[in-house]
Amino acid sequence: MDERSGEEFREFMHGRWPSMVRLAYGLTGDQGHAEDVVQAAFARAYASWPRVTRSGNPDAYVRQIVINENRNRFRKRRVPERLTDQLPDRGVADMTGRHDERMALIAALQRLGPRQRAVVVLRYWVGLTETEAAVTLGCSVGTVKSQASRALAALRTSTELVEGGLQ
Amino acid sequence: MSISDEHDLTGRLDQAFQAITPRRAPVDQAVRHGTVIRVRRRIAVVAGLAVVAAGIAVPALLHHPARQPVLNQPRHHDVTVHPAGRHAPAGLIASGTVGGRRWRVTADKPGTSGAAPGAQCFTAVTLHDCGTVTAPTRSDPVAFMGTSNGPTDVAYGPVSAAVSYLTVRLADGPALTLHPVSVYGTRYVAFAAPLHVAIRKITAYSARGELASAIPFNGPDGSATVGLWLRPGQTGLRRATQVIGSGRTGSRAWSVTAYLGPWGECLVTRGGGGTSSGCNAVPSPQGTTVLGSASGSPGLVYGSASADVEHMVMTLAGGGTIRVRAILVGDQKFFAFAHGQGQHSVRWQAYDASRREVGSGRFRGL
Repeated sequence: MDERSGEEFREFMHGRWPSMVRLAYGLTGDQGHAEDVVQAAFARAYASWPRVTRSGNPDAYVRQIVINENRNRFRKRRVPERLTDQLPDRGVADMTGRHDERMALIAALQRLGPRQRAVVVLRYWVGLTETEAAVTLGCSVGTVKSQASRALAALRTSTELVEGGLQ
Repeated sequence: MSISDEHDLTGRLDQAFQAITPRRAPVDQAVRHGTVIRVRRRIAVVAGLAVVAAGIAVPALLHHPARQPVLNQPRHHDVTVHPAGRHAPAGLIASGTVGGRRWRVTADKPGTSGAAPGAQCFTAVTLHDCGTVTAPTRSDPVAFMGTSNGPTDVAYGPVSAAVSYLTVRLADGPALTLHPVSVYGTRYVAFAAPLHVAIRKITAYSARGELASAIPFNGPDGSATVGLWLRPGQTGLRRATQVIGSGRTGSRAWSVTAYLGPWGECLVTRGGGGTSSGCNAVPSPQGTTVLGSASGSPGLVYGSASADVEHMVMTLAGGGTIRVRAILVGDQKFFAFAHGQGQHSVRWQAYDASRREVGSGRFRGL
């Protein structure tokens, strides 16, 4: 990669890093994982930078890599997890704290399936249209609609949000 | 619930996500990792294409630039390769273990999973990568691509119809046998090896016998690059290693070393941007041309020069010039130079020993 393209990438990564980490945070529910996913995504973007810039929409391209990286992380993580019949202790949200409200929402998001979570983040936080979200996720518009509908229904009945006093 | 409508959900998500403060963007790490991915992706480089790659900083090597980049002590690693069977999941090319760690390589249907038209996505262990797949030929029987995944080096690629099977000989002893499998209409092979174990030789066989073999260049990042495929009896370039340029720009040392051998030509740059390597699969000497560059501070530019070239003059965008000697390595001359941050070259001129101009050109994008 030539020097100018390298500088262009550096500037792009500096500018988009916070928003991409927040996107990944919505997907992973963990800031550390989110930063790992986004760092790996930017590395992939760097490796394909000419193609990224040729795409005409580097934000969409990198966003898609973030989604894929998170999907791969999820696949990888599934293997070492052990199933148990013991439910973990769950903290009771402080009804007066904004922090707890935020954490309740993050916890509720994590209860959704990966695709529903991605649809929620892309549609309602990034602000993509159903078509754009479908392209990003590599699925049909119909799937985005149905996943969004189910995700909203799940959030409305989410235990975390109910117990957190958000109903 | 208080998430009464979609607008409300947007507001709450925004509050939750804005509450975190991401650490400073790790741009250098991403660039280093990205260049490693880049060199693995271009594991089979065709003649005339320059490759810029890989970046794991190895500062100690700066003091011994002519040393072979990878010196492996023989040590046994358990490596297994299982080609996908008849009832394997869709897209599976091969799977196995490396030192007890499982690996697998799968291909997505061409044009799906976010791949551009004509491109294809692969998942090697956990890394998902998409790109245009180079078709193999009779002279290049496997168009290897690959990636490094933690301590595991994974290579995969389409195989020409003439190939019945391949063998891969690793430095620590085990020889792997690869049987092509058909995935979405294309024959593929895949294998994995420990990242820092050199791959000594890959041989492709037809039903009648050996078709071609490749001796990879084992680079400073531990990955192997397949350059030239040699027909039985061919020996490729004579092995030669030499520093073609070195110095200090500001407080930073830099060097460019050429490694010629049966893999073709590989150039390793060490400087402000870390260590990088690129290979050029050329069977014979080339003319004067810029082969590649490594970004960073200092930025490094390197290329090949015709046999009659004695020195090169680079003209910088600001009007200054840099003069460098052409260095003979084996049968090929090379040049390399560095420029500081913010500088870039716009033109090169080549001169013979009598100071007659024998070539010139413009830098594009350097």
